[in-house]
Amino acid sequence: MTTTGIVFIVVLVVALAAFAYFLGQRVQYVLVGRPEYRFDHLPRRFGGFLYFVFGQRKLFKEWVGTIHFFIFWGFIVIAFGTLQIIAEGIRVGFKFPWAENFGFLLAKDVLSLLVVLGILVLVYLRYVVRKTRLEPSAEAGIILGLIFFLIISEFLYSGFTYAPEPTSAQRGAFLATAISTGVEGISAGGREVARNILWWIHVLLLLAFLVYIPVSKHLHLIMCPVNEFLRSLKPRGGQIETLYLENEEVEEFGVSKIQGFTSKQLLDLYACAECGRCQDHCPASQSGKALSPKTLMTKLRAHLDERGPALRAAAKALKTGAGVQEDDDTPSLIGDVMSEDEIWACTTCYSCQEQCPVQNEHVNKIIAMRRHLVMDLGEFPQEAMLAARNVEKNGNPWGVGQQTRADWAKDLEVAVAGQGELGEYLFWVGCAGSVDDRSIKVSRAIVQVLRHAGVTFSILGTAEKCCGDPMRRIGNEYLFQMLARENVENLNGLGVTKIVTNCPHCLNTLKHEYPAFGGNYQVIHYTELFAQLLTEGRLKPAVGTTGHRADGAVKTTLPQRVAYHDSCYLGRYQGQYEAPRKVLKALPGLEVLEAKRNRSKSFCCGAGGGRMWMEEEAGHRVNEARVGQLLETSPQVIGVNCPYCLIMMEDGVKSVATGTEVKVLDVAEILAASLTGQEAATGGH
Amino acid sequence: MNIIVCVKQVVDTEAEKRLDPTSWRLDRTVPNILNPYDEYAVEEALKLKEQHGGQVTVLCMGPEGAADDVRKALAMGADDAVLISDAALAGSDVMGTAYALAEALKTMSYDLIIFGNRSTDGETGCVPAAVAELLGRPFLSTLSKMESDGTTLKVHRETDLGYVAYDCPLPAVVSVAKGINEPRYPTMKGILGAKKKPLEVKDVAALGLDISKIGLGGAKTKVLSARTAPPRTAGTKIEDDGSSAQKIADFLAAEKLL
Repeated sequence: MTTTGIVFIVVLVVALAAFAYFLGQRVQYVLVGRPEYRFDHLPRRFGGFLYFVFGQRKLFKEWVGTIHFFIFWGFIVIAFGTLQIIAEGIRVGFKFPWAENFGFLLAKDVLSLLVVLGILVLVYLRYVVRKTRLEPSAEAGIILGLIFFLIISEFLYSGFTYAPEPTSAQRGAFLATAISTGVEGISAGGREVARNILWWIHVLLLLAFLVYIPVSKHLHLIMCPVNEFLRSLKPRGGQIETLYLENEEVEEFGVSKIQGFTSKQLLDLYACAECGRCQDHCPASQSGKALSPKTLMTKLRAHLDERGPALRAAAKALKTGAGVQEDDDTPSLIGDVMSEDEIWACTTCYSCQEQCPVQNEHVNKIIAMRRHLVMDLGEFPQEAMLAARNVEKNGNPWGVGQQTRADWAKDLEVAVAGQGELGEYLFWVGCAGSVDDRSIKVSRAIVQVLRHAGVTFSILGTAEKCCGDPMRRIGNEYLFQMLARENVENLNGLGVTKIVTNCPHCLNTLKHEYPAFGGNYQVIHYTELFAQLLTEGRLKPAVGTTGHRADGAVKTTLPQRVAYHDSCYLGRYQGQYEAPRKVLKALPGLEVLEAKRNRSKSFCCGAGGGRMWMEEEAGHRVNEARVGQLLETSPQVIGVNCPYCLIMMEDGVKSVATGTEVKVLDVAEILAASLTGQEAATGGH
Repeated sequence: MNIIVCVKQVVDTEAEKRLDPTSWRLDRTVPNILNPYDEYAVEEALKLKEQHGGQVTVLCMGPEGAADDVRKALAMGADDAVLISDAALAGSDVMGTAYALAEALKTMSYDLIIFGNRSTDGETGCVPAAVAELLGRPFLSTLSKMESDGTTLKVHRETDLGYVAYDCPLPAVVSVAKGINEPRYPTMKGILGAKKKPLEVKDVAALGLDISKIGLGGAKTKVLSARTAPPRTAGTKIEDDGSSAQKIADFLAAEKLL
């Protein structure tokens, strides 16, 4: 072994020890959290791990993800080259099988070149363009610099090694070959000195990088793959933990301190690479609210780093029985780390999680903190409290009397389950569709379409109560569970098996959250049912934009240009982007316009997560921002599929599109008008 | 400082109210809630307790089912409750109710008795005054602000023109106006704890009430007849043809609003 080799091994041992120490520390901090079992469905977890890590599948949502792809794979390939460099430094002349392989060397240099160019683009974006979602921090600079110079030093080292005459295999490494040509003129002794210096530079950069990983955002290199493996396998709409609320021993039902989160939730913090994709798509961040899903992660992580040692010591003391001491010095998250404004700004739109390349789960952290505010402290925005009281007393957040819930259908003679025939479907009308004047029109349109297609159905009438979606999402799990139990009891008592809903929030709650309460139904949204009926030929849109009724008597005007807005709970939560588009496209002459942010990147209307019931004071309004995005397509009509979106978009149009004739209509209304020849829109005809 | 809050279970404010066409009594089979005004009374009592210590007791007269709403007051933070419940009390009017409450209160120790200003179904607003009279205690109604040093009360009493400030010695009886505070939302701890808090049900015999003073038979008032309020008329609609401002001004002037 060379002297270099001996010195190297000493340095390597020190570096590895430091790496292990820092990593171990963070692993211990993660384990301070409550246990959460995520080791079910191992083959599926492993498959996803390969798909998301090696396939980098979540990164390609943006072109810049391609750079990450090359850096990731570049790193893996270059690592083999680096192994060779280290080995030959320790034992002169040692060669791994791939060391003289033309194909490998070619791949290595191609990827190296791409990584170097990629790094330059990233530096440009972060420090010159200064994209708002990226901090021009020293930490990011150190990481980019380390990678950049690791690769440069590798080129140079190989170049000096290959000179004066690279072998034919070595010529695969075309960059190193080029350098070898450039340094031919230097004397053999001079090249050897340079080569030795470059060897050390390369190796020391590598070890510095190794030690820097666990103490920087580059810990995602290790934690992200683990996070991918432990990702939630539950449907998106069913990921909120159902709390057991009868336990009087429980001190807190929500999360007030960092150790109240689960270990998986804490792992998220270290998996975060601070890419800021979440922030770019967050309706709160994008409308000037205090909340950014990215700073949620980074603030909690900084707090965990700070409190970790004390919490770890406390946990140890608890385990060994050496004095049961709870770490009460740990401050409450709320107020000290997160502001209430941040916690209440979330609309639970899932856009952050949709975008997050490392599968972090932001929404549940927010809900856990809301649960603390609502259930442990009884402190939440007055308007949300009023909505909760309304639900308690009248079964709907509007506070309209429960006995009037079915009044919208009085003249339509809709069958009420339990009193008349149940029919094929139970039509779950929802609170908005039952008591809000504007949304009632949608419920009536749905009835019209169902009847047109000959679908038999009934409603729950005054027995239907709020599904609980907004209550669960503001953190009022207790009220949610009361509602869920009551509704499930009603539905099961009537023998309901198939449900069609007006509202995507009801859809999500009935479909994904009621099974935990013994409610198992086949639940679909009306747009899904309509699309199905169109396929089956049971619905035949009769009137086009310039058409007439079958009898030729009435000229109708259907909108020609409809900007379709994906709701969060039908779109991102259910992945249902096509059914509503299919319904609209089935109408003769109707053109579906797409906003820049559409489908999985659709922008929330601002009303989800109980935000419908809270004042929006900070920044500008989410609904106005969304209306602005939709108006870019110059539509006659904004088409929606959710009562919240309907209300929010109409409000938005009133304030930002005054003077235009843009209307907001539900997909059901547009379809119903085409079936009956009623006028559905004023498209300026 | 021991405080008793008198609460009532009322017909849900949003429920369709129906009168029985023979007895003219309110149909109470519709959803019931804790009288919204009483939530302010409970909150005010809890705030005083937080300042001065002591006990907050909830007193309610009503059917057995009223216990559910009494538990809501306990969930907010009251310590214990007494429910006066007996079939013989059904149909009691203001005086009958005040008599029963006063008799119960005489068996309890208190520094202050707080009522909500009125119930949202009976709407008389007279029971608090009648109870104070029967107990021989000072009485202040419609309070919009309340402070205490433990022996006296400093209050603001709302009037049409503003408020009048009063000082009042304890023990006293008061009723509070809507908006005097923001009633707290019960926490899970409160809800779970309320199930175990003492709630004593007392009947007519236990309180030794005079049957001739309670129930429909003992009522000093009698409803002779009732009729449904006429539905609201459509109102006046002014279409803007350029003269709408003048028309609105004329309309307001005709209604003596300008």
